[in-house]
Amino acid sequence: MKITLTVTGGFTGVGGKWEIDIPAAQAQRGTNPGDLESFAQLVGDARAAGVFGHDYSAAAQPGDASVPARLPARIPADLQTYQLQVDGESVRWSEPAAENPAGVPQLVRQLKQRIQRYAPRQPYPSR
Amino acid sequence: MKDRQLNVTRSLLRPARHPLHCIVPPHMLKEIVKRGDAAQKEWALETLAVSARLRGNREILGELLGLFPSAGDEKVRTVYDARGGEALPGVRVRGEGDPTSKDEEVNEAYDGAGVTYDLYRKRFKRNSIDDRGMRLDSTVHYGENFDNAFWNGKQMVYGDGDGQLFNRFTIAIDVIGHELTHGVTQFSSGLAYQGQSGALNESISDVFGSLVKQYRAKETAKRADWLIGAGLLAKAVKGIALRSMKAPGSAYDDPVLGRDPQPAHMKDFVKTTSDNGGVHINSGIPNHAFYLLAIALGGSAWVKAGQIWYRALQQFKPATNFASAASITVQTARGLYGSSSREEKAVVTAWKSVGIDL
Repeated sequence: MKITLTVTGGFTGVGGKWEIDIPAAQAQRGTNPGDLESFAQLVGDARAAGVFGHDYSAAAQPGDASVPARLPARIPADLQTYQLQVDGESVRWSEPAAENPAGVPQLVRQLKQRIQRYAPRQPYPSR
Repeated sequence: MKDRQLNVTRSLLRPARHPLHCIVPPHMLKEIVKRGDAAQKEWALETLAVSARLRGNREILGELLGLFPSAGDEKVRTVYDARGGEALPGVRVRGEGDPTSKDEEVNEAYDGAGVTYDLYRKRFKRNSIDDRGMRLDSTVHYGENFDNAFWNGKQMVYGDGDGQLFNRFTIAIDVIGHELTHGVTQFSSGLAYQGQSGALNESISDVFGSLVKQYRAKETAKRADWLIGAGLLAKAVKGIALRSMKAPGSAYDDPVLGRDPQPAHMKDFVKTTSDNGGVHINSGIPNHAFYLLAIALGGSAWVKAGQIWYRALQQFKPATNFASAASITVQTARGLYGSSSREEKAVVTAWKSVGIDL
């Protein structure tokens, strides 16, 4: 299971990437095996919750039943956009969140915190 | 009255939740604001606010705020502590006139907001972010090792940084000036945060962030470092700042962060879908134009170059691009200093130097 997190934007404008291959990381024994197992379990929970395939970074758009018609999208300045990919599936979101009634699932934020804990940051060009 | 004005502003920015929004006509809602009881007024204001948002109409917004007397000339700063969480605004830890806190980050946010308010008030005759005395609310210690600062449409928010790559985000006063200026842009031109208008939005924040720093240090354009976020990078990082207005693309070159991607000229304009179309990248082009203008005019950059940019910002529209901005700044310089004046010619030369011919 290969997991990749990328970030772009923010005040810094500096992109970043975190990448971990769980079987390889378990073999290297650099990270507590229990932590990696629970991380993999968290990914499974996110899959079961159906978070992959969603783009929570987009503001609510006209046509959404949950918002009034012709609502202009307002993007918070200096927001950061994250993308988490797991074996080809991905989910996107922004911090701070866009005006999106669906909100960003807590599971997604937990996955972000975990991969940032276990994998080193690498450069990720914004261009 | 300030609290009421704040509530109105908040209404303008939060999602709709009342089923009767937009059914009652605006003129009737305004009458309710004037004559209704407290609950009726609040409902009418919220409805008007949502109506303004639906129309994307800043004139309505201004008119709506105009239903209340000005909040006055006072600075009203409040700093909150998120205590590592993400709930805003957090716990109130310092208000206007309160004694210095033991927390350095609280004091930096408070002082930085004060200098920014003073620059806008004394040099550009602007009464706070919305030009109507809006409170300056800041939240520090947001999130866990949070590597960002942002303006969320209502307030400034600062992370502590991870300590490995980034220090606390209040460490550099230009970061504070930058974030507050996003508010100024929101209430003046409303530059859309995408593509060239987004890069212009970012550049405006860098320009006035830098001016806040120079104003506090009483520096001339010639003496200023023209760096954005100096002090923000942790010791181990190979770099001097996040951006350089003097030499875009030269601020950092680090194994973990990568290389500063900012261009200084239109020939190097970066086409990308990342970062809302490269808003933090292509801002290097108008940033450099402003730097060239400030150096050409000399003295304190906020006196002439800043004045031209500030007045022009009031004329920008949400979709203003670099070429339109250039044209507006030239017209502004002509209006302020005269046709064929040294200042007007310097603005034309500055834009031409970054690849925008007029």
